[in-house]
Amino acid sequence: MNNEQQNIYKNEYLPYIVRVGKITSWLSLPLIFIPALVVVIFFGARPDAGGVITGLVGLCSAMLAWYIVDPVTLYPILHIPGMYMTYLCGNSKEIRAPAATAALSAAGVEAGTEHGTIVAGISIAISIFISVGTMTLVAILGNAILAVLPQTVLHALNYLLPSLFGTMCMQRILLDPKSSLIILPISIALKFLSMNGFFKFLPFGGGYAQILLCVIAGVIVARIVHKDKLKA
Amino acid sequence: MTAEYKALSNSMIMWIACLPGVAIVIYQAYLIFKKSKDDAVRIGLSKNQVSASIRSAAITSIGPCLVMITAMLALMMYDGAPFAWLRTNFIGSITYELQGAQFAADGIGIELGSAQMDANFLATACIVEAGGCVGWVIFSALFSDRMEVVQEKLAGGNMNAVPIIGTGALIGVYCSLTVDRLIPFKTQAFGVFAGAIAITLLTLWDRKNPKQWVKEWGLTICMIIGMFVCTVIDIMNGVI
Repeated sequence: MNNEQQNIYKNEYLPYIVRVGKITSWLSLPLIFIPALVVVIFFGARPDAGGVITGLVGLCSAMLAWYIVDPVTLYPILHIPGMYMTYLCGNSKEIRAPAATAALSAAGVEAGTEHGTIVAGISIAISIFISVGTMTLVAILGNAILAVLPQTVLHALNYLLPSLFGTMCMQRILLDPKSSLIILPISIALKFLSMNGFFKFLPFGGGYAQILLCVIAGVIVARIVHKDKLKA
Repeated sequence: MTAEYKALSNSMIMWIACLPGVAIVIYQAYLIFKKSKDDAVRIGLSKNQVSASIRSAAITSIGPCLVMITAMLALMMYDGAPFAWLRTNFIGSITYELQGAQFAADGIGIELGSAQMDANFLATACIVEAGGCVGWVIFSALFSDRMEVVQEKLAGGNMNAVPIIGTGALIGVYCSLTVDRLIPFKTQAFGVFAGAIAITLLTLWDRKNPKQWVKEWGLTICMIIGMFVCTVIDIMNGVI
């Protein structure tokens, strides 16, 4: 990139993205509580405060680690525009990260570079148009869709996520086989520990422990394996 | 669900109430897409690169969206179509949303999907499911433009460590998600292996004979191969 292009990226593109991202993110917070307000005002609901707090504490504790781990781990792929969009629309690992990964590969640019940032912005926006469009159709047409799809296709959909995760995991392994061949057995061991209730003593049942420890293990292993790059 | 709850949760007023949340997601994506597309060429990307990005993102997104359909239909039974539509489009993750509905039901002591669901449950679910996702929006609003600082703090001040940490963390996340699908060992494990073998072969072949279609369609092809293998196994075992 030449100086003019750098200037456009740093002084026009990024400030615009940050402004739009922050304003829409903060603005969205009251909007998502409108349905609750409507149910109270128009349908006379009187939700029990204790029930709401119990539900919130349960859900937030299950998700707490994810509020930080998810953005921190996916930032290298999503970058600034992708972050604002992904943490407004969701499905970070299932739809946004794969869409951005595929687009970066198709465009032949690296994640985290100026070009990679703009490609991430384009690709994640496209994935949002597709997912919102799909969910809108499903919400309107509902059960009619299920009646049309063959049983075999519906059955096969149950295996899409395992196949996707296996594919994406192997992509990571191929990019860094040394780290992966240590992290994978650690993940298996942590899974067995989790399955046998080893983490139940942790606050709120420890359901988050397996993935959190996998991330920590991944960071430590990568630092050890690539320690020569740390000094460069 | 009772007829009364069905009418309430699927009413026109609920659709109108849920519209602003979905609209802001689309509006934000539209603004960022337009700016990114306009500036892409200005900073040196070619029109072909932009088109390739759009095409590959669209192709890769369709498959996972289809997965969401059956789970969304389940969510529609608990929350009604309008709120399920809002939830899956606003910090939507099907597994998270179904957990949210369960936590809401547990919180007020009713059985999810039963005739006990009423306006009080819907209001509780609306607050709990929306409240539970606020953490992500706030983190993103505060730190998206400062992630280098967050990462530097996590990297202990050594910027050389940042990409290494990112790589290690990503490997950890996807290993954990994949291992969840391998243990206990069921048919889905074959999908994991089939997808992994397919992408390995495609990647090795692409390194020797670089092809654009591999980069755009690769993920989707491997997903379909995994799904196909699992379905054939289920047919052979008489499951379907």
